[in-house]
Amino acid sequence: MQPGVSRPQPKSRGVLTMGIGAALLSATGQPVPKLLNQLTGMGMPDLAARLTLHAIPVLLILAAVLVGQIAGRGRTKNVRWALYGLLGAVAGFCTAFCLDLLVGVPALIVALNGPLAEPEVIELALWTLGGITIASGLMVAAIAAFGPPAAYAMNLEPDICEDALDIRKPERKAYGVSSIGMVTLGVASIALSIARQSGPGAVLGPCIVAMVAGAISILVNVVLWNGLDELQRRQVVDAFSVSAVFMTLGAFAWSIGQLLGFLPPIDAAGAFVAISFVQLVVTTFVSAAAAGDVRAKRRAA
Amino acid sequence: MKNELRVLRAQRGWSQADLAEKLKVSRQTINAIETGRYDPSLPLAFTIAGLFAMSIEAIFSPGDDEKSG
Repeated sequence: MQPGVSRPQPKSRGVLTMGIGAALLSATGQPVPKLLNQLTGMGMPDLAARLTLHAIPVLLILAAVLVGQIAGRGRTKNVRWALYGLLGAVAGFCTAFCLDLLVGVPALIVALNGPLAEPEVIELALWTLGGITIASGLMVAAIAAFGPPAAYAMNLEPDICEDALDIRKPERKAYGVSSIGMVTLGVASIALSIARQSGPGAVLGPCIVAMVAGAISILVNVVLWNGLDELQRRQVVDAFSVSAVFMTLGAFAWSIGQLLGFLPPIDAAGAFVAISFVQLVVTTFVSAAAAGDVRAKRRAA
Repeated sequence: MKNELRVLRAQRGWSQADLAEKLKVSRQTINAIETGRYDPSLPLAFTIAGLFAMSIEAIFSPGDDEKSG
């Protein structure tokens, strides 16, 4: 930012980008046969029914973003993110009734590794974790590749802080490295799920993929740690400390629940996915607190 | 702690990212120091003082809590 140089006020394009992303995701799907049959049974032409089922998820996602923006006005970033998450989950839940998304992926996995068993709770959690981290990693990669224009394009906040989006070369490099760590963690998580869902003769392949991706992710995080400044390192340590407290309490409560027969035993993959999710949420809150979005509310109160 | 970082930066026409580059820290760290959410380490405080050619005491001063405590 050069002083004295007047520039037009930049605008966020997050809603437009979200709409395009939702449309592309919708294009990868196929209408759920049951609902398609219901619509055509009601007299709707087949093409119109298909287009409707492709359009509904896009409209729901856009509605979730717009409602989140309106309802989150004047609230802290944590509350706004929670709102986006809640409304997004509702939109995603409704989408699952309309479309089977990414229809080519299961067929590709079956072609490469053989048939998969139906996923159970842990496998679904591993797929969700993988999907979230890969999607986040690709968004971070876009910022690394294109800098501020990508940040403006993906920003959902109506008010823009120009300083916050003044992303320069060293930060872009760090974002690039970070995106590799996130995508490889996602790949490791999904490969672990595929290994668990595979037949006895097809476990080794996805296990090797999971181990290689996990090793790259660990290496990338070591490189990232070496490039962090003192505040960023404190954020990481704080996030891990808070996560450890939650995990200890969670493990204690789970053991009681398991002894009383309320909860099933948890295995290593379950522990991995639980720890990863807790760290994901806690890191988000710690980062938001460091950015002033938690304390600002307390001051105002 | 309170500090004059935002004023000193503005006087020189630097953005937060400009100052971050000069101090070899992240922009978030500059923002956190300026808004009083983060007190820098002594080495970083000395680097900041050196950059502005001022003493640490001229840039940083105890906040109300520190004075009364």
